[in-house]
Amino acid sequence: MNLRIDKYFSLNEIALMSICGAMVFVMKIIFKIPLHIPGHSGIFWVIPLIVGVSIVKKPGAGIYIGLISGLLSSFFGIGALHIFDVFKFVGVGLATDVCSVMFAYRYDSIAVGVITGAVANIVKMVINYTLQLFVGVQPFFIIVGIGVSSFTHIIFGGLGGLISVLIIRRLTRAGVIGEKEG
Amino acid sequence: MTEPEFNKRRVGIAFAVLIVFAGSMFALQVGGEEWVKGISPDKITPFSDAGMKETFYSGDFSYGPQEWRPYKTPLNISNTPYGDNEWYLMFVKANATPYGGNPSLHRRGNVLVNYSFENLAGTAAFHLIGFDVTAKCRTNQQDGYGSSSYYVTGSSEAGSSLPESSPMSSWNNVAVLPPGEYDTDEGVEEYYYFIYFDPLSGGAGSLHITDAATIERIKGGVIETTDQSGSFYVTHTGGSIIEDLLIVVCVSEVQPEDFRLDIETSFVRRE
Repeated sequence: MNLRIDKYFSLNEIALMSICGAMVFVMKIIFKIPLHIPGHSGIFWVIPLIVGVSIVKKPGAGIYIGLISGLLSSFFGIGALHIFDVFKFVGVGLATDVCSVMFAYRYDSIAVGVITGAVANIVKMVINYTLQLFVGVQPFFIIVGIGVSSFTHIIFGGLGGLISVLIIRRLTRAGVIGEKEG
Repeated sequence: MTEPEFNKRRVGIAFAVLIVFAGSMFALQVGGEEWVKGISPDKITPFSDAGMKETFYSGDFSYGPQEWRPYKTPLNISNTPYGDNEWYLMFVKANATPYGGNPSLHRRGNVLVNYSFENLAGTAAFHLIGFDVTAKCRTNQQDGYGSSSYYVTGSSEAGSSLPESSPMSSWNNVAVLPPGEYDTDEGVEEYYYFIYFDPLSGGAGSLHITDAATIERIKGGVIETTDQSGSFYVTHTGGSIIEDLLIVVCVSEVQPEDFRLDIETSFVRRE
């Protein structure tokens, strides 16, 4: 088994995943809406993640996209967790990969998109809180509000997944993406 | 089992797992709120309630002369010009933080600041810079509704020696060094504070200065006095949690050699 990344992913796929990783980072910065609802940014940033994974259709694509966005977030310090953002986004990518494999990359289905988006956003929340506990934030700050936070993360992540499916459908219909050869 | 049936079943299970997860988190939240209510408020302390008592001298004004104080964009130290409106600044560690948010999360209270000037020349202004748990800064509002600050005018002659200070290099993304040495159990500490106001979120209006006359208004006001000794409160509103607090002391003139400022801070419980 050859595990070299340049053999496993083609150059085109690596370029596409890198762009998607950068787009996740850009979405988090550009669409910063002062809604003060936990997890609302999930409506935007899950889109490049799901679209990227659905095009590449290989396990590990989510982790690669997550790694790129995590590294960018860490270097530019957009999150409070700085270097730990890498773990957060890699975890999100892993969750997306697991969902994708579980549903056989059926991103033409709205249900699959909604589930993947919701799971990605909720995994981000769980890793976020875990890291906050790790760096010494008192548990009651997290527990008081975790129910509402879980709900909003699922809703906004799910909406992001829904938008992703609509984009993937349009791209497929337009012939921009299609069945992979070989 | 055909492929659509297979997917439908997994989709159903996935939705069920998400619903169960959200439900269990709600249960955890409800249980957690009961747990927090059971904790004595005195055990849920602010991030820092030790307080401090220090004396500062003319040489402790390390920054300036400048007209502004740190924020996303430069904020006036005073909207009313005093003298040449060229101020000298020092950033004093309060060693206590106010909290005005959810009483279930934290012991609510203010920081009481007692000050005493000797031989103050010109006017002294007090402002605040707080650091939230994500290290983003907050400050007192400068203009409009909710603005607050504290000004003390002295009557001494301005100092003649050239101050050993230089203007701050920037009003945001800048490190400052509080004056003096602070004795702790670990020895003497001297830390730079990195001031960062997030350009994309708020930063002014959650910390306020009030005094005995304005304490009823938590948001305080712009207070001017000629009393060389007195006190004011640092209060807090909003959802942020202040982890550390710097009192920005600004003076409008070069201070004489015999200038002295005593500051004592303490946390005062708010019922």
